[in-house]
Amino acid sequence: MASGADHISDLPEGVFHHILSLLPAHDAVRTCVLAHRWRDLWRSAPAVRIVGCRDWPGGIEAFGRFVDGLLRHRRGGAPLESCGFDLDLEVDPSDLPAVEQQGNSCIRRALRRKVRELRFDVSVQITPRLLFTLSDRPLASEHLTRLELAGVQGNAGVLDFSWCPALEELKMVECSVGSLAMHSPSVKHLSIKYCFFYSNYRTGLSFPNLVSFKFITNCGRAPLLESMPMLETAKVRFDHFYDDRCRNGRTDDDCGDAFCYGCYYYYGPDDYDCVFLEGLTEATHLYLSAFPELVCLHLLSPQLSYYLQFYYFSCSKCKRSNYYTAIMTNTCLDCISIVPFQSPCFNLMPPVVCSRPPRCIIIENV
Amino acid sequence: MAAPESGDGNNGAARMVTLISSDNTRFEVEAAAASLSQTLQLTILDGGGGGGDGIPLPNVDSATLSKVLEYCIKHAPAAANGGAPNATAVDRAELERFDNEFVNIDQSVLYSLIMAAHNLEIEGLQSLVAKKVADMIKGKSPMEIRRTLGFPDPTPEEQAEMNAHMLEYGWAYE
Repeated sequence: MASGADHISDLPEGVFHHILSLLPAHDAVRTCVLAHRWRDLWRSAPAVRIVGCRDWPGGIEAFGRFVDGLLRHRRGGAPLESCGFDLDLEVDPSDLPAVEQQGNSCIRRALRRKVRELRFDVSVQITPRLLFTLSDRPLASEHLTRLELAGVQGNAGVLDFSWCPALEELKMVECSVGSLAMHSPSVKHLSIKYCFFYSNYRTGLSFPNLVSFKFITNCGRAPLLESMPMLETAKVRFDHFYDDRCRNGRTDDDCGDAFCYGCYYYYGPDDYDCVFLEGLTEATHLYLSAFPELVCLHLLSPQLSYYLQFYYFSCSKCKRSNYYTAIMTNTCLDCISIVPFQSPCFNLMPPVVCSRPPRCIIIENV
Repeated sequence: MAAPESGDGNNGAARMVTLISSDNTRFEVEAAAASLSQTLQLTILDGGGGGGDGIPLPNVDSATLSKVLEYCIKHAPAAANGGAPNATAVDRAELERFDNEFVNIDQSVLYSLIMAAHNLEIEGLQSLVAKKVADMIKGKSPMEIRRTLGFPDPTPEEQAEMNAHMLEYGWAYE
């Protein structure tokens, strides 16, 4: 039987790059000892994935040297298609600033290498949980098209993406926003999931070129959405953790309870009709789900008041909280379908009451 | 094109095509399965491979081709659903189990499969076999990698070259 070496040495370069792209960078570099013709292949691998585990030998300084070496030794102008950092850190809280400095400089190094897709996913193993703080200045790259951030603490500097004119896709998971504004003139696809917004200020989101928007199960105050005329699809889900919920179940105006802040902080520019939904009205497909006691996010807009009904529509018979998904199929609200969840006696309830009913309402039981 | 009406296949059998391996073995297989190969797809769409013709594959031997087709037949239904958005968790788990079992094979077979998947451009299979090799490399020292992949122990010259490399790229071995 032929030995493995006879075959694996014959693999075409493209196949070998594919294998390298699936390996953490430190493993990829080690493959160069296998065969002469592989010696330098890792230096031009289009995809680099850097995995830093808590037991990285030699500590964080060695990790910094590794990333530095990896990016510095890249062959000539070999394009860096994608660079991913998966860092699972277990550090003493007092060492965290040093680690953050290393991590931040890794990001900048990858950007200097003209990376097109960058993923920075950190998990800091400390209780209580700490987020990895990104340095407070904008990322600047003409080449970056896709950015994914997970487990980081944002700020006004880093969330201003106007210095990344080619950026089209932005994904944030389990991040703290930490800024009153997020902005990109170029992003087309934005996904914000399990993130923390301020609970006493609203963050303005300015993404004028957005085509698809996912806003799923975040907490804090719903952001102020600026106009998004290109928007096609929006998937929005409000769960328990919003601060825009009235503890007394009121959704129309101030409930009068001094300890309830649900209806606070409704402000916006003069030409805003509503806080959150304004930006979504341009979507051609909107999937919206929310708990019933969510305070309306449109207080400034009497003509949008039929949204309200969908949120606090609850079953008078079983007293169960009901939970709706409203799907608008076009911007004029000619047709809205409302999908009720968890309602055993749905058909005993009155149909949706709207102050100005849309022309068509479809109610489906799922 | 056969794909759209091949759904239930109750009005006559689904369209079949014949593939011919490098050692002249003929394999008859559903067009939908063979079309997982980007290389074959166009030929099949043009009506090739039917009847007595057959599509010759001079780079793939019969043992490898039968293995490749085993993969294609298993994955064809899911691929026909456009990546199977409505596949149940059970279906996905079953495919995953099949995939794990499928690459649990001798290394020489694995390399033949890599080359076949590459030549026939079967995306799912390319990823599956590349991941298998990556898993064999992951977390090992250079020496362990060599042994796992069936390389002979290095000659003194190779050893010297390895040592020089490890010295030069010390940061990768800390």
